[in-house]
Amino acid sequence: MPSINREILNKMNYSKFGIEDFLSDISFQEYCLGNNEQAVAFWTEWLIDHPEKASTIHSAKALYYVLNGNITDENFRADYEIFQKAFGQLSFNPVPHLPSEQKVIPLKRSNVNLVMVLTGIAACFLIVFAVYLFKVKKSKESITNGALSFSSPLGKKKSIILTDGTKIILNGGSKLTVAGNYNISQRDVILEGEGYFDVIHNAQKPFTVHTAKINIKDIGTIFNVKAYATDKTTEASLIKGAVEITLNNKTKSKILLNPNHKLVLLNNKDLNIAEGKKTVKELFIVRKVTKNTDGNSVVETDWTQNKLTFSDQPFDEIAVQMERWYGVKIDIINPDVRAYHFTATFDHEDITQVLEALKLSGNFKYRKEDNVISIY
Amino acid sequence: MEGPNLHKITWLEFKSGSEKALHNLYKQHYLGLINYGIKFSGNRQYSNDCIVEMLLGLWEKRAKLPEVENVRSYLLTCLRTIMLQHIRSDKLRGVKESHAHSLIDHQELSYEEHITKIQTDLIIKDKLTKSLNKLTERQKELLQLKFFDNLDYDEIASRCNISKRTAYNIVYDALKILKDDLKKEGNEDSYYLLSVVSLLLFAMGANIS
Repeated sequence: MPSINREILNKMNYSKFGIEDFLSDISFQEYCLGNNEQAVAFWTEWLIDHPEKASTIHSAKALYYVLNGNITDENFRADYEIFQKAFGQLSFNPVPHLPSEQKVIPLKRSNVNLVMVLTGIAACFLIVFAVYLFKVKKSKESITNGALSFSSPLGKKKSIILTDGTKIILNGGSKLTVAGNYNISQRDVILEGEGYFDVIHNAQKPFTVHTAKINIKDIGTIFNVKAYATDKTTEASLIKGAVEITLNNKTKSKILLNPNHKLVLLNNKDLNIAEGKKTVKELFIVRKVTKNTDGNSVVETDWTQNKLTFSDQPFDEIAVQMERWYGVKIDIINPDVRAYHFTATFDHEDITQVLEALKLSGNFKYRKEDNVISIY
Repeated sequence: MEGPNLHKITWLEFKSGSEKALHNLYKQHYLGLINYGIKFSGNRQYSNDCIVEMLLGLWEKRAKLPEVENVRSYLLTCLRTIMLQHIRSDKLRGVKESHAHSLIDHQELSYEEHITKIQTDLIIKDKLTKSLNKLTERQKELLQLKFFDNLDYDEIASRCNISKRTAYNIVYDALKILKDDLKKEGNEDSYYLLSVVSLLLFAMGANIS
């Protein structure tokens, strides 16, 4: 494994090494991309021996991905896996060798009736076109034909494993419809509410989540989709892998999401206002998912771990979240309270504990009667 | 062993039927090919499918393949041929919006525009634009050859008619400028604040229960 810096690296005082020293080294580049096992092994070990350089290495890696066009080691691994699978199928099921010299039967011009040929070609096109139309129509209908529905009531979560092994967790007050032809030629599901998807990759049968506002096409992934009809926004957060999101509006814009990023789309009410202001392009934003203080878990998927998380959210959003979580009804009587912002994580606490905790820092009172909570 | 020679040997082994060489061919040329495909189609997944199709196609007829001097450009040409075939057959089938054209405007983007455009973090995007503006055309060219096209210093040197040492130094100086500009993180303070508030609330919650 050649590199200019390697010889120097082994002799020099590492503590002086900066991002540019690592990054200009070819084996370090291979370590970042993950396409050379020896380079990965060398630098992983090197990092264990030099833990004080961890943050420098981390920054160098980040800059590497900026420069190489955002191709991460995860991207490489996923793509290489596809290559390996394709090759595995090829060697398992060898394609019969075609005779290298195929006989060409020359068309004799004199024997060919031009009108016949043209009619033939036209007929072929018609058939192809008819089949195409039929398929398009069929694929639209078949999502709901013979479909299977799963619902989770407010306050309850539901886990589903589909026939292909794809795992889905539904948050409270959500509904998932699985297409009747699921896993035959494609995999389509319709989501209303919030779901966490761990999809088994299959390039031949693309997996797509349809929601009212966006469609999320998986490319081998774990992701979270939040699409409650009553929320202000539709959100898709990517944890691992890659997804392609298509907006269901006129623009049909496609957005490729990177891991640990989320797309936030304004729902209908705001859409009209935005269009009035002619800021249609700014209808959605892509930003990083919110990490918890432990640095590992992600706020957007905390609910799957039975954690109720508020991340700098106003009380009216929190109230809706709590309604779905505990299956209660929350009335905010004092309008000032709506604007209070809270950040908190609750692990298995009941609703009284949560309200008491929020009460400590917010200036409000509450009354609980059966399943109705009044905030004032 | 240096890049171009390593590539040539891998190619010969590949031609003689080594499966390991086929895998190495994928690994050695992945970055250059995938970025070429993404510039062409705007879609990584699709580009990878084309690379897989191309390599497995070559594997099928490996014995008949020529001994090539520059493996990299040979593979790029093959990839381009496959992608053009797809577009042509899509057109024949009357498919107007195929994945191959979904983000076709990527083709017209320069390297710096491309890497800036795909940054989703607005702060980094902004810093990157400003920092790239400070670099000379030569520095940007070499960054692209090194990190995006994935050439090694020898190939860069011969292509740009400079010495290997000079190639290395140009890349090194450019990296130094970029790293200084991109290093200063802006949002750490707000994260810190968020975690303090969250910790406080957590502690309160714990007291009650």
